[in-house]
Amino acid sequence: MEQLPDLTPEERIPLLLRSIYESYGYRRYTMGRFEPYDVYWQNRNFLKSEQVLTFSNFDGKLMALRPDVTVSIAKNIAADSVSAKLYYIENVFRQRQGSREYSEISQIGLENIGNDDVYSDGETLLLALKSLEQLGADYLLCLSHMGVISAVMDWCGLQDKRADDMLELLRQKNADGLRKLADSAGLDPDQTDLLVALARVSGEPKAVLEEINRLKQPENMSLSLARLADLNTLLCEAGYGNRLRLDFSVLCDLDYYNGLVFRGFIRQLPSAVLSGGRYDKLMARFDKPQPAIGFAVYWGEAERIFRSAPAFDADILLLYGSSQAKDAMRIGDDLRRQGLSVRSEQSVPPDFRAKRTLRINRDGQTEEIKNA
Amino acid sequence: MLNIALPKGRLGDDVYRRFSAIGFSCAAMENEGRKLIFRDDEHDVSYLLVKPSDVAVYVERGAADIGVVGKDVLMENKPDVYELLDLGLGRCRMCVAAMNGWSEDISLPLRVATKYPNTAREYFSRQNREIDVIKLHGSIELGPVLGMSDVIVDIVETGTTLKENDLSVRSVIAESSARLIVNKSSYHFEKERIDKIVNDLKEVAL
Repeated sequence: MEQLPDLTPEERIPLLLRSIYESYGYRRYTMGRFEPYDVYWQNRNFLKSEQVLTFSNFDGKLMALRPDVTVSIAKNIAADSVSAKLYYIENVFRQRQGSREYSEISQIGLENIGNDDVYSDGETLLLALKSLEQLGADYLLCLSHMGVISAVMDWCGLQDKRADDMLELLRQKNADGLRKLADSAGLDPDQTDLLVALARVSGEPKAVLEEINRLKQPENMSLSLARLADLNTLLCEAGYGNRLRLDFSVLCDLDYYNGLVFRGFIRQLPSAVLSGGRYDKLMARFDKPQPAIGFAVYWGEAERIFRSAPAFDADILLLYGSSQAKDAMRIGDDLRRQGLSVRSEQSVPPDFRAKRTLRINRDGQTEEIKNA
Repeated sequence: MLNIALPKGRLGDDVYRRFSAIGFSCAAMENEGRKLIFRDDEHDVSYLLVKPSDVAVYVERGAADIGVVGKDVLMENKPDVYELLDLGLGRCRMCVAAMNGWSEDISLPLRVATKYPNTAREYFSRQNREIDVIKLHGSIELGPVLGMSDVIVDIVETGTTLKENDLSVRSVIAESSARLIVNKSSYHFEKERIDKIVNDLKEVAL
């Protein structure tokens, strides 16, 4: 008898993402909210923040409220499971960027564990694209490859602070800054040109790859570039060519990520709404031999744009007198049976917006009140 | 519509002239007034005039697509934005300065008065020097003059203020100048338009 109400976008989208992931054979992964703190402490760079909410359990062991899902999965997955395809819809607890407070942030993501080939990278990107498609009509997925970055870094002999500076400047697409860095590090013109080009280029993968391939480059870079070219071809075939960009400002921590990395943008949001990459090195830190790639959708950030306050709080506000309990219940339920939402009150609640306001009169009938 | 955040004051005026020269003039901007937002539908652009230290906040959060801000502010706050061009305007140096004749007692933490606590901490921690940061919002030079701090970390343009207060530069932390910053999402969706702005701005600077 009761009917499910129409779903709002913020309810519908997580369900849509689930059904997309499940149609590719991904299984839902659920986990506890607490983990021993040392798991996160050892991988604090992966989390981009050392701020983790902690408490002591009954044995005095320091526990953390989960700030990240991927770390838990990497830790908990069996080392002998050959392949696992998992998705999750979980809340994480972390400091919001630029804030001094902890927030509970809703994340939806997936992990594709046990495969490292063009198809599995491609499937992960395809699912990222399909996720973005649900979030905004105008979306882009920017790709990069950590293999390109580390090859250039080695070729230029950049280490320690200079290497950190290089990554920071690339992240900013700061071509002027990289030229200065190249100068101070005494790089030759070929090295400088490649470094500056990596900051400058951005756009459709084919054009960007052609531009990079015109420059002199270290030998060990070609494999990573070839992977990017293969993925571009694969996803163009799948009809997503116009949504892909190649941009080397997309960077993840080299201690955890080794291959393809990517960020998804939708026009309505000022920062990336999706972030992912290949994190074989994180797996290795937990002595897991499997390669792995995955991404997370920052659903908590995206949800906001789908929220719109309904124009009315209820179809009908039903006002009753203190001795009209029976009438109030009968009339209210009659109206609800007609599919209307009814709020019953003795007087008009502040700021309440109803399409119509009805009052029960002495005869047990309703009369309409205008401008209640 | 492209939203451009400019710092209020002389730097903002100089930068506006450059934008105007490359086809983004905005008639409303030319009138003096107290308005903070200026729209020009003909050139499809609007300008926001904000406190210099806030420009990056507007750009990072996407309220502005583009902004112009001093490198000193970027070093201090490290916003997650693209920094596409050094405009060469508003040149200055981030310096450590002290009273003339002052000598350092390395057995005590160094008391540093500054508007740039993060920059100061980062610089001195790289030298393994313990510091006590005194955050001020203006007239930083008073710190050492009154003996409240040992040194200051501040931007120095001509050095006149230092000289008049009997201070001098002890070391240079970094060079600063005005930078063109762009919101990361806006950049990818408006790439052609923004690339053209960067290239055109390079030309007018020459």
